[in-house]
Amino acid sequence: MDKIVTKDNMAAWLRSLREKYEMIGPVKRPDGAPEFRDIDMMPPGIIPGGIEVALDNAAWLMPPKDYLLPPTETLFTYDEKDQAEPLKVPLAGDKPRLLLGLRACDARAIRVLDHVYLDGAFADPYYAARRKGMVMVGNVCDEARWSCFCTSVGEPVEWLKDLDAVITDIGAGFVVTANTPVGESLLDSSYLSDPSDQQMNLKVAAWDKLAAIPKRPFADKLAKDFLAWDDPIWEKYARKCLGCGICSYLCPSCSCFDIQDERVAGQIERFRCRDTCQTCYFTLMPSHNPRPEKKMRMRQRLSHKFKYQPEQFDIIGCTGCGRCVELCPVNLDIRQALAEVTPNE
Amino acid sequence: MDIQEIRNKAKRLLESGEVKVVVGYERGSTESKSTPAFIESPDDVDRLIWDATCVNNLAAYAIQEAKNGGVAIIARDCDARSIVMLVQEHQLDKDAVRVIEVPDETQWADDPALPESLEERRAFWAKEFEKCTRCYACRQACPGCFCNTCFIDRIVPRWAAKRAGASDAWMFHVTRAMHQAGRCGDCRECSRVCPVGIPVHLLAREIETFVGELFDYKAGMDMDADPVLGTFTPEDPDPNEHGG
Repeated sequence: MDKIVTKDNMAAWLRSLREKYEMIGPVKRPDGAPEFRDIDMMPPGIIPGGIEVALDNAAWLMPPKDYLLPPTETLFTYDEKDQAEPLKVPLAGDKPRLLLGLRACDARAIRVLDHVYLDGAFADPYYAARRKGMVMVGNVCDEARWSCFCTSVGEPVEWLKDLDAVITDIGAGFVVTANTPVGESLLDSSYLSDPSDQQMNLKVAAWDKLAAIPKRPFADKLAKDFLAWDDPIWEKYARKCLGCGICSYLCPSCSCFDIQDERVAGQIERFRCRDTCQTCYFTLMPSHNPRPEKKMRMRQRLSHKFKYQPEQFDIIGCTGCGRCVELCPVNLDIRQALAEVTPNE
Repeated sequence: MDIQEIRNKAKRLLESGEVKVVVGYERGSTESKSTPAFIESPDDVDRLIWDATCVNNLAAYAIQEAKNGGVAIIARDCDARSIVMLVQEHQLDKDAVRVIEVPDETQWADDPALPESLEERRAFWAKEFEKCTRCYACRQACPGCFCNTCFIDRIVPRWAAKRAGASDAWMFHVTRAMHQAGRCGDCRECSRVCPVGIPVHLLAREIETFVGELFDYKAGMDMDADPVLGTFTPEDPDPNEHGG
């Protein structure tokens, strides 16, 4: 089902959704960098009615995992003196959440996170509480960034169909496409109307443009068949790696965390925070880091996404969002590494 | 500077066996980016480039590369100061490193204006540190951060939690800046690499200003000078009385 909403009515429609949902989306901070956060908290901005939502491709810096896996999340607290008191465990509230502004790659990354945190016998209760009943609304990228390579690791148009609803900017307004009954319920609003044939053509053109992002040499071949344990490229790429956490902390599908305890004024808090296999300090808490050399950490990063996760969950762990490519301080481009391991036919 | 001149110097150093590797820049994965290049054969020097995209301080690789034999590093003035500083700090054998000097043609971004009053400054940095992802790219890119184990990564004792938000990030950034006293050559790599745009370099620059005023010392200028953090005399001025 497709509907059209004018740019003037967009804010009013989003506001009306807030009655039912807690709205999370990419909003622009005063410095222009978008981040996923509670839209209610934002200051007035460009969309009339007080919400500056970044529904364009500039909204790429911070991945939506910041909402599903907050950079710091309290697991429980207790009183040091009164240990008979039960643990206080903060789980997410009752109002269903609506995640807005998901690019195709970021929507796909949530599927990857779902496998990690919900599959099997050990579903993570914190992630599950945030994820439960969550409505996902995406948008179609206007332009590919130089770092984008979603079409080389999958089919972004199919990833969009996986969402409850998709917003396509057609210039004069937004076409909103519902893919699920929940998505259809969002469209049941007087702010939306039926689109014309011409408007639908513009929508189709935007989706076709997304599908037409040029593919890389390694596309359509499964890297898991080529990634070798002893490949000399690990050493080659590791040599220039500085060992920071940019690629994994800003990756929409990287999911490792550390757990720390803190005591402040008699209150004990256990929280989890980001961790990354790209540093020499990874997994020191149980005993040691099994990857003492940079080349081993480089191998792990690529192998995890392109070999282990496909074997484990039948999904490529990388969604081609390009954040690690664009933000790496030394231009260590995993697309080049993948092209290098993939044989040319 | 003519790229051919750089390539010729690199070629001579490799052919003579004076160094095993030249660390320079080559074209990155897109036209607007360069990437560090490790040239080990005189036949490969044509990969080297020199243009406005060459912005990394390659001294970050000095210790790693010097372990395998002699290393030549293409360096602007500020990067060369990092190399001199590493020699002063006994992290690098001066015979194991050569510098291929290049002029500083970097298009430096404008620095944000810091507020005058202490309260406003505190608010400025609280806002900046709120954005910190704790990726530690600033530290990893910094030649002055050569500790084997950074205080912030220590588990016992733990100096600060790895918590997002201004408070713990503050502990990290300010302590790191203090440790840069007499080590920072103002290459601004810390700010360049920051994914969220925190102007980290202003902290170390402030420290260097104090070091200059109090101890008449500038980082990385003299290979034979004792580092300012490594010396003490009873006549040293007391920073507490500096009024900063």
